[in-house]
Amino acid sequence: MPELTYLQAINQALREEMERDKTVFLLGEDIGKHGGAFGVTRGLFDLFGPERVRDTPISENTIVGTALGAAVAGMRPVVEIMFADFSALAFDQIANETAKLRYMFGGQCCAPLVVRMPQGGLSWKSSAAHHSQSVEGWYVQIPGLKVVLPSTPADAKGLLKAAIRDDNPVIYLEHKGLYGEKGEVPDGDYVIPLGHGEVKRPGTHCTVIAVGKMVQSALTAAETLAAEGIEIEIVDPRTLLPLDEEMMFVSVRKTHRAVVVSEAPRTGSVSADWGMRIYSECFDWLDAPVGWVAALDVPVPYSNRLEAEIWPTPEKIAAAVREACYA
Amino acid sequence: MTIQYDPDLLHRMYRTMNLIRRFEEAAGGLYRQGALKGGIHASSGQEAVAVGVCFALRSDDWITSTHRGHGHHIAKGADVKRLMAEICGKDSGYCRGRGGSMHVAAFDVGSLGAYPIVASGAPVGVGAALAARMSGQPRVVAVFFGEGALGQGTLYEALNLAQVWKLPVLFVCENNHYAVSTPVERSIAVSDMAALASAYGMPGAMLDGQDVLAVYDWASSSIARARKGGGPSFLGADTYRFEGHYFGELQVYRSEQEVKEARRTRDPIARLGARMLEIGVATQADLEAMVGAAAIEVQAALEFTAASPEPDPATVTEYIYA
Amino acid sequence: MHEVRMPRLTHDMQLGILVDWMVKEGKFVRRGAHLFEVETDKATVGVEAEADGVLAGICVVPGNEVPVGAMMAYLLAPGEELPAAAAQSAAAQLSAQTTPPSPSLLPRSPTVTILDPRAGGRTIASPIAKRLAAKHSVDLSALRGSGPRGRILERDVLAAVAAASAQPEAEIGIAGVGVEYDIVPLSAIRRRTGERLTASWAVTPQFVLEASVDMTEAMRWREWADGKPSITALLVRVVAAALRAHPEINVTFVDGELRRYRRVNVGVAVATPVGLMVPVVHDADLLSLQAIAVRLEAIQAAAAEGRFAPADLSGGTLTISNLGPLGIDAFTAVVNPPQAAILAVGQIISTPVGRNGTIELRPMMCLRLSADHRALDGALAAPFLSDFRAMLENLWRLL
Repeated sequence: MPELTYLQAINQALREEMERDKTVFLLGEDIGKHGGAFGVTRGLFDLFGPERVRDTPISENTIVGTALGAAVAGMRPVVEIMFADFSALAFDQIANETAKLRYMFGGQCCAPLVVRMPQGGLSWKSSAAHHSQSVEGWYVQIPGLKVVLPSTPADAKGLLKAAIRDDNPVIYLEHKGLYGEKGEVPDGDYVIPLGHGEVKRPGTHCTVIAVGKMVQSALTAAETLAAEGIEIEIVDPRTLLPLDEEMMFVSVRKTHRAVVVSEAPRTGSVSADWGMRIYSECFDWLDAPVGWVAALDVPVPYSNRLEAEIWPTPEKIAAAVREACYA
Repeated sequence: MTIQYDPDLLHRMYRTMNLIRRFEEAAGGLYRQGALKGGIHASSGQEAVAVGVCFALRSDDWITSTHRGHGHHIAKGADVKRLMAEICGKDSGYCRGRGGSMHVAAFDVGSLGAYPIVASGAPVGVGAALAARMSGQPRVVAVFFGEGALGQGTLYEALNLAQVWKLPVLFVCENNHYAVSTPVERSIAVSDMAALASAYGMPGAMLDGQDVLAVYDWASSSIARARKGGGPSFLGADTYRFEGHYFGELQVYRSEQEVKEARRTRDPIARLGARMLEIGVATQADLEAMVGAAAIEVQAALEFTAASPEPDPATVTEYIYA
Repeated sequence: MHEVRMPRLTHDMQLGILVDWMVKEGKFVRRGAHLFEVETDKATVGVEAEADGVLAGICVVPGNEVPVGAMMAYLLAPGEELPAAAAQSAAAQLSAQTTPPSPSLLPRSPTVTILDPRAGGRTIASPIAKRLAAKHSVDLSALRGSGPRGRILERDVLAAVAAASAQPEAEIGIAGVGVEYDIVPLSAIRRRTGERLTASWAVTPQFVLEASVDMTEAMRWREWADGKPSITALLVRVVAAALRAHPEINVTFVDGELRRYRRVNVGVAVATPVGLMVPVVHDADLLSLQAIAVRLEAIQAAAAEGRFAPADLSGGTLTISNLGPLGIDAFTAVVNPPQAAILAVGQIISTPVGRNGTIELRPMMCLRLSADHRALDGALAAPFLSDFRAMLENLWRLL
């Protein structure tokens, strides 16, 4: 199986979908000849031309609104917002129009657009408060959207294809810290249905639920813990909305312990939602309170020293697992 | 300059403007009876803009509308029965009771929906125009908004993008002088909409919005230009709303006198009627008959709505996802 | 200076576990204030300060056991100082005590007060621990929890279960824990059967006699007889004869009373859709084999629907349970109370046996008689079983 980076996998998915379906086109800032701020759309302008790979002005709200209009009128636009943090500018079009159009209009239309945005901390770049946030929590609260955050190159490809083919609006979050990660990516038309998670590592003593780059952190913690005789099971929902909660429940009912992890600030994070579901459905199986490892409720600071304080780390995850296991 | 108008066109305009007026009056009646919930924003007094623009469009052209959108929808050809049912939250409404007045849509007649967040319909309209162009469809999209939208950034983004990509859009600004309670002079620095349009590189005009034929003429040429690939235009219409911002509002921000005066001197329906009599395409009896016909159609809509069921609560989660 | 010693909180108390100090060393407390908490064998109790003073010279670490009357700390009056000797001994004692391992906690806000959930005598256990305890009839209040604040954990209950069944802890996996299951409702019959047989098992001293029967004769006789009666019919007829010959077996034991019956009513265990039932062939010794066969057929028909008249089910004095048709070689049945004995019959297997100095293949059938030792003993049961076997092996003599 070929090995691609997370970024290459996204590029491949975009290319394959644009070849497959003429109504798929891209909008975003600097995505044309420049290939996108991170290079995700590199080469696509040369392949598909300026009609289908459209550079836009710096107008996040209108870019999304325009994509919405095009989607409602029969196209399948894929918007790139340069940093997830900037999506706040497009919040009206995402939250009030895109998410709700189909429902408010009683099913008269659908909005098959995808909004891609890189998110997450990139500590070695000291990206600070406006270029490091995790925003999945902002969007899962909006009924009508689907929200996806892949953790591996294979997931990135499969989920993006599914997102583009979905007739609903999908917020496709990419972790910028994973762009360079290599992994095996199935060739050809590899599609992962939205709403299905994956057990990234089977285990017996404790369930750890994480998405995006936190899956990597959990895997690192797993190594440390395995040497101590603790085998964690890592559950990656992949799609945050709609959530594959059943997969979590099956795991927790097996291990009797859970730790939820969030790179987004603790309060109101999706990890809190997962914890609540576990308490609702798995209470009688729990041997310990659900462990909670999340970023501090702090804007991401510029100083490396300060930034290091706020993030969940493999060590913090391992500590929470040990506490849940009374080790 | 005398322009020859097809009498049939004028009759249809007159009928439609009356239909809008009677509809809004009926909605007001329902509101006062307590049968209508929610915010209803009547477009009484602004009929000429809606009719002038929509009649210049083809049936397969598109519009995006606003919270004050009943007139746009009726002018575009929406079924008043389903429109009335929707604003009363019935299952037989255009949006199956889920949108109401502010979020009504009638895709079957080319309305891509009402976008009550001020100016939010502009990007959507631009996007629809983009899709039409990319698909090779010769459609034009008319984007309606009030002068309050000139305070919202996304409007300027939409003008910018439409012009940069030369999209077939007609931006229609209905300046009724009040954004809720705020008079335009106090909030909008743009005094010359034609100049605004020109700053964005597109043709623009500030017209008397109560003159349906003036609106129709200017709209027609802009739409034709857009359809040929000439890019967007900006139509500013000076108009007036006879009702409050919404039914039930205490209109403390303008005098009763002002409103009375407007009704007397700036009624677009009266204007068109007078014009039709003047050029001899209709008699007084014809006009009255058309008024009567509109009333009958609205009455039928009221009855349809009263007889329609509410949506089934068990269906509350339908239409979230496709 | 006031000495703070471990108080005697209950009549039998010898030791108390210091749960925690409620006041920091060096702080002033008023008499009557909450000073520390003690866990006794019954409950966790708060102890008040008996005098005003500054808490000093603590020599007990939370988590450790302290005998009643032992020194724990001092309450110093203003201006007083700890005697040097006291300070030294406190330090020595503290270093000698092992602090029980505390779980590594994530950083907590310093304003959070950790209350003891066991106050008021509550037993704190994790949800899965409670479930396991209920399932295995483990008394939670008898367990010491190894979790934070004395929480009883899954592993504590598993350990208790393991100890109870004296198996190596590492081998215990509680079957089914964590595995998805559906609750299958018990039929009234099944529940009642369970209750009755549990009672029988609990109070009845049961012993088992085993005999292998050579069924050559019986099978030959079966082929010859009209209508080819079933093995069960044969067994009913023969056991009835055996009971007639051994009336001391035809008994029940009820409320300490041994009742010997004048009629021979043989119960036949049958499986029904709602559970195990034992309809009776009344006066089996007076019925012909044919009549018994007919009766058994009627019983089978009724069994398919699980419906018997009360008269069908009462009056049995001995039960036969034949699992031969289900392919069972041999089994031990539970005495059907208040009957004194039950006969468990296995299938007929062609078996090499020693006969006339050589090995021959014979159709052998295993019989096991379970008997209530309060009513019978080996001296009574053995001849019965022996005769029964002899009758089966020499059927022509009987019939």
